[in-house]
Amino acid sequence: MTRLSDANLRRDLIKLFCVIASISGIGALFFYTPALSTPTFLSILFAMLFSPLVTGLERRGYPRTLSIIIIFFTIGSGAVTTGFFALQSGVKEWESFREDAPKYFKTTVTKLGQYEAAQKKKYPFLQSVQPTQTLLSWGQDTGKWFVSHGASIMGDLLMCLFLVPIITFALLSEGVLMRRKFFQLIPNRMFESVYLITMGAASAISDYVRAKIFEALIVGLLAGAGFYLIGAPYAIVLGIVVGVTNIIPYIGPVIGAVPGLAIAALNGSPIHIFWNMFFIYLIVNIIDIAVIFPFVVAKLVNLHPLILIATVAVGQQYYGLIGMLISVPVATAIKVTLEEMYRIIYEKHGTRTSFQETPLPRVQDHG
Amino acid sequence: MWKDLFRPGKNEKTDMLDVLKDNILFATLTRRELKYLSSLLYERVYQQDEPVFKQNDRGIGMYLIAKGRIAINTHNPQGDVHVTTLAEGNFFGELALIDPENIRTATAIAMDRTALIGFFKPDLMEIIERKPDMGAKILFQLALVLGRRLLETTEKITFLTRTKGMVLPHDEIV
Repeated sequence: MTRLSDANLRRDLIKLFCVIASISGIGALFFYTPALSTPTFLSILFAMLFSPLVTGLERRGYPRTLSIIIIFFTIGSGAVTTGFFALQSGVKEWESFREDAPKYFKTTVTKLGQYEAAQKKKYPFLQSVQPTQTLLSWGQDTGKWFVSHGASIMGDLLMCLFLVPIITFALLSEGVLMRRKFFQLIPNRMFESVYLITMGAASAISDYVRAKIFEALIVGLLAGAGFYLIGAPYAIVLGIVVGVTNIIPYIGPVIGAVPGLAIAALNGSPIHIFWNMFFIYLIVNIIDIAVIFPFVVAKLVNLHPLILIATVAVGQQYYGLIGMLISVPVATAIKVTLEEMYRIIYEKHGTRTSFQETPLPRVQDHG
Repeated sequence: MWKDLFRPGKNEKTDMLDVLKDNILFATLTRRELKYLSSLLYERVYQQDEPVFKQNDRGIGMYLIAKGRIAINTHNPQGDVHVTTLAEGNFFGELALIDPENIRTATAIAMDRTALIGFFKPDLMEIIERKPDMGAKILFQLALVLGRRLLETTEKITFLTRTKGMVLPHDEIV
């Protein structure tokens, strides 16, 4: 018996070592190969987003592969049509913004320089502080970075456009098989626990991603429509910026408001445009905080606001914008994992109160 | 040992469809539905004396015995009690499929080198979501099994009460 247990333990340890080595290897591959990790990350997001649509078609009797093809075809043709017609003005706005950006930067530097000179005259102890020079250096460095990395950014973008649909298709059609292969690696003694934790975490992440994307879509649409109605410059582009940055909790809305307000302040628009845009940001965020977030997202992320902010800060520190975007789902997954582990370890020997309170005798099943 | 690490050996390889179609839970499924079901299930091989799960563990689903035997034991203050031995074609742990806070009421241990097929609650939920007709068939059969078990338990309690002259705490048991 002891020898058998030893053999089982040895087998389980070897399996566990193989699992950890595989996961670490895949993790390292993704960490050191952004060309692969970015499309994979985006594909996982798309797969989570499309999964309910594919399931909806399957429920109507379509085979899974056909359901995925229908979704891809519908969304692909919809994107092309939208891109061709509705986004024409968005592209024009972007072109115009690209041309005007150096002008805004120059105006900002000039105004900041004048302000800095006036303040330094008034307060001589500020002589060592050089905000205008810092901004200028940052602008030059950013410009140089874009010039030197332009080709690789375009290459990465094309790679994403090529890889994302393929990986998304594979995840949607072969996801269950991949899951089974992964669980095949888990030793028997921890199989049920790992299964429970993995399924809980995966479910929490996909729920959060779907809710957040829905929230971003609504907020972006509201902001874009508001900007368009008041005649703000670059309404569509700024609406998209508001939607995308809204995905970042707490600080996202502030980041999203900066470009719009900066443009309104610097491009010589009448002052009421600036204030109207400010109120639109405010109203959209109030709607988000009061209506969309509590009913759509908050139920899914039961994390303390301080922990959320710390999570976003840590994400930003290590992985920049992508880190800020993925920090909350990762924190949610960690929370679900810890909760499940707590229940497995500490509530393992607990008794079931629900059955104790039930007057009927318990049905005895085999396990 | 290496052949045992990640997949069943030749002796343990089973035709999952045959095992499934012979099981009462999946008896009403079509061949196509069985094929889909088999894509969701997990084949696990346990060595002799290796526990599948232990009493008071959290339960996530049931196991069908494809090959080998499983001992069901319970532990109480008086010691370990062997409840039953399950053989090929039997299944156990099915309450975990429907009970949200299922705690295993017994320990299941492989008596021989045993091949099991695991069917877990998230997979059942996925079937209900993706193929509601198929989900309804499985749930109906599951209700049938649980109903039969309840009836058997009721009969046993009634029998024990009569033979030992005990008084039931309730006038009526479902």
